[in-house]
Amino acid sequence: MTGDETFLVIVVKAVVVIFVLISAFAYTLLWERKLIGRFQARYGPNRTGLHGYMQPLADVVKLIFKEDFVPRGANRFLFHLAPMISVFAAVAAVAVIPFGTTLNAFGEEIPLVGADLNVGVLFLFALSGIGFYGLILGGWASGNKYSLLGSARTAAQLVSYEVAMGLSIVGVIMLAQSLSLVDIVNAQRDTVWYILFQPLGFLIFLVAAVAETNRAPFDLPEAESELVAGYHTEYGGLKFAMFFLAEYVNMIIISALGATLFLGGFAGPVLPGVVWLAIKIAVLLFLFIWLRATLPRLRYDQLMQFGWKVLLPLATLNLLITAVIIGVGFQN
Amino acid sequence: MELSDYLPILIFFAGGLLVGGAILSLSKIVRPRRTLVKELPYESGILGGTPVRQRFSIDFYLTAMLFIVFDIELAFIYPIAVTLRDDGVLGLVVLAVFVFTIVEALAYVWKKRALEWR
Repeated sequence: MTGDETFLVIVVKAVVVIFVLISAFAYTLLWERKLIGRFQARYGPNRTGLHGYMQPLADVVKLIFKEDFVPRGANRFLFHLAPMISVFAAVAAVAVIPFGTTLNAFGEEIPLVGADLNVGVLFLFALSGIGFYGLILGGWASGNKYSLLGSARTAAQLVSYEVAMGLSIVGVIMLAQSLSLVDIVNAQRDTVWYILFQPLGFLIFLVAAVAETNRAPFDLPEAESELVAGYHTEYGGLKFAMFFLAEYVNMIIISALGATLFLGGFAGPVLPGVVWLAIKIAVLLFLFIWLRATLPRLRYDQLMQFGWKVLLPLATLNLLITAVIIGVGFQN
Repeated sequence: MELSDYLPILIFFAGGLLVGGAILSLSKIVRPRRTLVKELPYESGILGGTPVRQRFSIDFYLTAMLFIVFDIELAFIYPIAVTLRDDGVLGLVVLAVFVFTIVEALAYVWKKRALEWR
């Protein structure tokens, strides 16, 4: 529990974790562009700095000096508020991700997690719910038809896959008997990774995660060819960067959640926990990028029906099977 | 779990707001002056004139309502899931009855064609 930690320790932890998260965002973006380049038999960005590794910095500098205007007919307040909400929800979500056991520093045992909430999973779902508002308000406030359509689609898609995702992890909760992410990792350290007990759950989680983060092949909210970037059509400069930041941070967070729930989180031999978690997150992120490079975009009605008619029944089935096995076989 | 355990959450909230606020104010300070011509909403070069905030397809509202029902049921499943191993067969029966209501609701909306996207 974190009750006896000093205020200073928590602040330092928050600063370090958020700084690492933002840097991870910059390099996830770069690696995605490099990987997509390789998938398409080209080099990707490789000119700025050594092998293109200064590209994120160059992008930021470019975006800072972009003209930053609010379209006529837009709701100015909400137009500025929307990217703020998105970034806030994405960044704050990192608070409950555990990245190690404890660190011995300054003669104190510091638990390597922002906050070990006993409702950690629910906290993440709540924040992702707040994050939707950023996308929806952004599209609505722009005063642009494409954006409005984009945000309506976003809203419908996200809520549809949220249900399937929520159900897909119930099996994990039954096994670990806790909603705290720290407890879930510790339970996996005592037994095995839950992906072995919950293969179907993991698969549903992955598909729903791709849809939740608006990634190809479920990237209809921002389908370039039909909606001209959807909810952020009218956003430019750093406000556009904020939506981008939120999208990629969400990708990292949801990969971290998947790694924590199904792949043992920071648990692993020899290497320190942070490294294990980073490796698992990187593997899941690579999967996201691989999917984007491979699959064409779905049609919107297919997308919605897949969520409700395939994923939701499958997740319910997985829940029932797990419940029967645990209820009959693995009682305490 | 005490209320003070949520202090780190508040600090992370502050961190999130700080990051967003910093980027917003940075763009306020450094951006070039805006020009009036560019303020028209983007419509692929066509002059806009029709009202922007039009009515949505009914499917979006249906989806929203379905979400509320299923999400609330989901929130009720989590506590049962946590204690299932201690509750044993009784817990299993309770859960089965509860899940049955979800499946029944899903079957109903499916039959009513509320899941079709028109």
